[in-house]
Amino acid sequence: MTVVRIFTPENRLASILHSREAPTGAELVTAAESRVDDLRGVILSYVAAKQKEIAAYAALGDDVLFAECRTLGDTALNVAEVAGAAGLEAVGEIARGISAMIDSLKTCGIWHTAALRLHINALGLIDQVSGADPAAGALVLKRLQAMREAIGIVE
Amino acid sequence: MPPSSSRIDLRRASILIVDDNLHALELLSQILLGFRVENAKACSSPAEARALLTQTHFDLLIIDGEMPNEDGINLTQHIRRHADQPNYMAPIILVSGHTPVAKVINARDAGANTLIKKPVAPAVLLGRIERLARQTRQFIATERYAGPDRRFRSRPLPPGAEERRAEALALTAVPDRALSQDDVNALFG
Repeated sequence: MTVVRIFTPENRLASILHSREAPTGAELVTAAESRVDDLRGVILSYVAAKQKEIAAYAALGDDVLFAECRTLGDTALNVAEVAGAAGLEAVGEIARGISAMIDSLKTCGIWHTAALRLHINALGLIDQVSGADPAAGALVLKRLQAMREAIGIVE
Repeated sequence: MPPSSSRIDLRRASILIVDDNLHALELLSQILLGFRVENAKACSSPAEARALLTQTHFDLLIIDGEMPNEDGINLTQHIRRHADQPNYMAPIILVSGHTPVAKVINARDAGANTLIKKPVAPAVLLGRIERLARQTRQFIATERYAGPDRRFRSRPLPPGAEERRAEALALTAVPDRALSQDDVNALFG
């Protein structure tokens, strides 16, 4: 028979709500957002370097691309995790798509070299496209997402 | 999510953050500094975190869902399996770059308290911390699960609480879609 234990743990976080002198949540968020803004330059440089690394994968042959895809997936995920914090939402979105495509290989066996290459190329161009015409950038993201859906990528 | 007008004092809160992506780790560290947290520890791997977790009692754990050798869901399971360790019942926020339904459900079933999409937005993180601070949920432990008890005990539902089941079922009906932060919140309750 399964033993079930139910108890009320001490909520050690509750004490954060009992100070009258503390700043408001809104003030804390503003301070945190300011610190995130201060990191913008560092994140932009990091993302630019990783975009170059990812772009190099487009030139690889199919077999090498397949063999190296774990590293590509990790790099893309690292970009996806921070790009949005520096205002590079579109770059983050495509990087997330690349990472999802590699994840889908691991979990579902889905592999589409052409779709992956297209995403890699789009990652290098999206800044330019969105900068020149935000609507065109949004359309690129939408079409890429539709492509991922069509080939069964789980995001 | 609008920033709270509540007064929140996180200066003495002890918080552990675990993320293999050093830029994401720095981002989280800076957000916590902005929240005036003075006692945050940062680890870049679950192995490093495990050592700290056995020695220090944290008020909150923020763990990356995706790490190369051991992901945040595994680390959460490890924490929830060790009732003799100091952070067995500590609130756990998972942060994740991917939020497919299956991953969110795995995170919930591993005993995490909530999950936040990356990159973490300060307002979202503070909102979840404030919510955890106000929560009075019990903790439930069986052979297969240890973590927050998510059941509603009141019949009828408490004023203002909405029935979650229909909404959660609708979300899980399409397993290959990424969830928004609101969707994730609905699954965690």
